[in-house]
This record gives sequence, C-alpha cells and structure tokens, in this order.
Amino acid sequence: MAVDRRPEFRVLFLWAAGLLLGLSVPVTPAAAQSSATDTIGFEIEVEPAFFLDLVSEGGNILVSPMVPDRPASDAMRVVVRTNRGQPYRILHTLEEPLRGPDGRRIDPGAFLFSASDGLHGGRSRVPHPVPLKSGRSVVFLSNRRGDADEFLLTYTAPGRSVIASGRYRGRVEVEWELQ
Amino acid sequence: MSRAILWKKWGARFFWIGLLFFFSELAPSAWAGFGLEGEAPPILSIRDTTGPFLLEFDDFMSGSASNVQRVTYRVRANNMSKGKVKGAVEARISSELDSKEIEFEGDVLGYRNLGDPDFGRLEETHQGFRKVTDKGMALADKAKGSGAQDDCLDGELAVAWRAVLKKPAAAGKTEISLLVTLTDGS
Repeated sequence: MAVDRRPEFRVLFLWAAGLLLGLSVPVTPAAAQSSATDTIGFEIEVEPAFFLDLVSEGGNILVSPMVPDRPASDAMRVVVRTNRGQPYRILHTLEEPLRGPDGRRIDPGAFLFSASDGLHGGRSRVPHPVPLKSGRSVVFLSNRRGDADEFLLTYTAPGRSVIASGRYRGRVEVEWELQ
Repeated sequence: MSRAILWKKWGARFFWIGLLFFFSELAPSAWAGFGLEGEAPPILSIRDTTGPFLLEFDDFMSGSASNVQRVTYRVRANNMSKGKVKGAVEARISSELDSKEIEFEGDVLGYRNLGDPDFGRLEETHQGFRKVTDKGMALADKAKGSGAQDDCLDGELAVAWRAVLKKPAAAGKTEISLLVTLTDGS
C-alpha cells in the first residue's frame, strides 16, 4: 500500500531549515501527527452477589379464613439471583410464632408450611406440609452449579380443628448460606 | 485496674467476637423476612350427623314409648363465653304436639371432645329424658373449663330422642322439625 510521507518530510525540512537559520520555528507536532496512542491497563470486576427477593401479593402472608374443614393457604415466592457459582441453601426460621391478640399461641399442627422445588433445578427439603415450629431449618438446596432459582413457600391452615377466633401474627425469616 | 486484669476480662470476649466475625466472612449469608398472619373468624355451629329419623310405636296404648333414636351433633365454636354457660344447647320442636297424646323427649348421652385437651366441654343440663316443647328446653350447659382455650368447643354431643304416648293414639304419621341450637351465652 502506498503511503504518503510528504507531510513528515515537510515538517522535518522546515525544522532543519529553522535550525540552520538560527530561527526558532514553532512546530506543533500534534498538529502534524496523524495518530497517537496511549495505553492504560484497566480491570473489570463484577462483585460476587447474592440477592434474595421475597415476592407476594401483599408483601406478607395472610392465611384466611382458618376454619374447620376448609383448608386455606397463601404462598411467598422466593427469588434467588446470584453469580457466585457456588451451591447454596435456603434456611427458614419462624422468628416469632403466631400469636393472637391476647397472646394466645396457635397450635403448631394447625398451621403448616412446605417448599416447592425450584424452577431451575433446586430441590425442596420440605416438599410436603409440616407443622410450623419455632427454630431454623433448611428448606431448599440449589443445584450443583449454584444457579439462580425461584421457589414457593406455602403456608396452610389445614382446617383440622377449631382455632380460637382472632387474628394471629408471627414473623418468618428466610436466609441463604453458601454450602 | 491493671492491664492484666483488663486483658483477662475483655481479651477472651474480643477473641470470640473476632472468631465469629472470621467465620461469618468465610460462610457469607444474608436474610430477608416477612410477616405471617392467619385469621380465624368467629364460628358457632351445630350439625347433626345422622339426618332425618323415624320414631315408631309398636303399641298405641298410653305409656308406650317409641324406639330411641340416637343423634350425634358435631359442635364447633371458637368464641364462646368463658366459664359456665347455662343452656348453651337448647332443643325445641317446630310445632306443639298434641301434648295430651304424645310427648317428645330428649336425653343427653354424653359429650366427646375432639379438639385440644384444654378446650371447653358440654355437659347435660338434666339427667334422664326431659320433655321438649316448641318453647325450648335446655339440653346441655357449657361446663367451666380449666384450660386457656375454654372458649373453644370442638366435639360431639350425643342425644337420645324418643316419643311417649300419654293417651291411646290413633294410627297416623306426623312430620315434625326438631331444632337444636348452640348459643354462646353472651
């Protein structure tokens, strides 16, 4: 490919002539150069992240009506987004047991919970409803790659017995842990 | 306080806190929480488990008694008054029988609690058969319970029903409705 070097020669000639004549010839190299390059190193870092989102219609769980012979339930969708690439597990803690306005506790057998399998290969450790008791338990295991996943936590009043009338309130915590 | 004592007092605490922090970093975790609510509306129900029945007389003479029909009622309530409730269960018939000819009677055979052990319970108001009229008759009281859930009832009340002839009766058939009511007493 033919390269036109005339501009460079022209600049060199003027500069040399200037030296010979003892003149100071202002030459702006940048104006004359066709390109210039600077190299700088940089890194991209994506922080390891793990997001646990709880999604439900009202933000909380409301199981109603709790009456005999009519099971009622409500579900919380647990959405896990992670880039850690490590298997994880989800733990469930009944932080505050269900209590009525007079402090009355609900019988553990009258309120059950279960977890579904994940949409992306995670497995439930509580596939069938079990009594909701105080304490911490593993409810879900991710697939081996630790992919993002989502599953349902379902709370059910099976309607096996009479529950004293009133509104019962409790609190649940859902936690993730790398395996 | 000397440094040695201070170190003895606080050193171990710092060590354990540091260790806890170290391991918490090794196995990172995080949590999210939500409220859990359940609503139990007030319920008050009594339902027979047998359906319509027939009382028959083998004899039409005065003093004859019909067969005895046992009826089991499923009783459920979750907002009863605490303590004793007199006449919580009442029975009445839809229309007055010819009281000079036939009397309708009921007798509570027993109550079986199917709920928590500390639920309230029912007991018969009177022993033996008592006449039931269209004005109503107290069949069972809610007994004073000892448990915290005395205001709840979940059980079966067994009642025997029969008719007795007070005068010689003519042949025939009469349809009557029997109403059994559970009242919370408040």
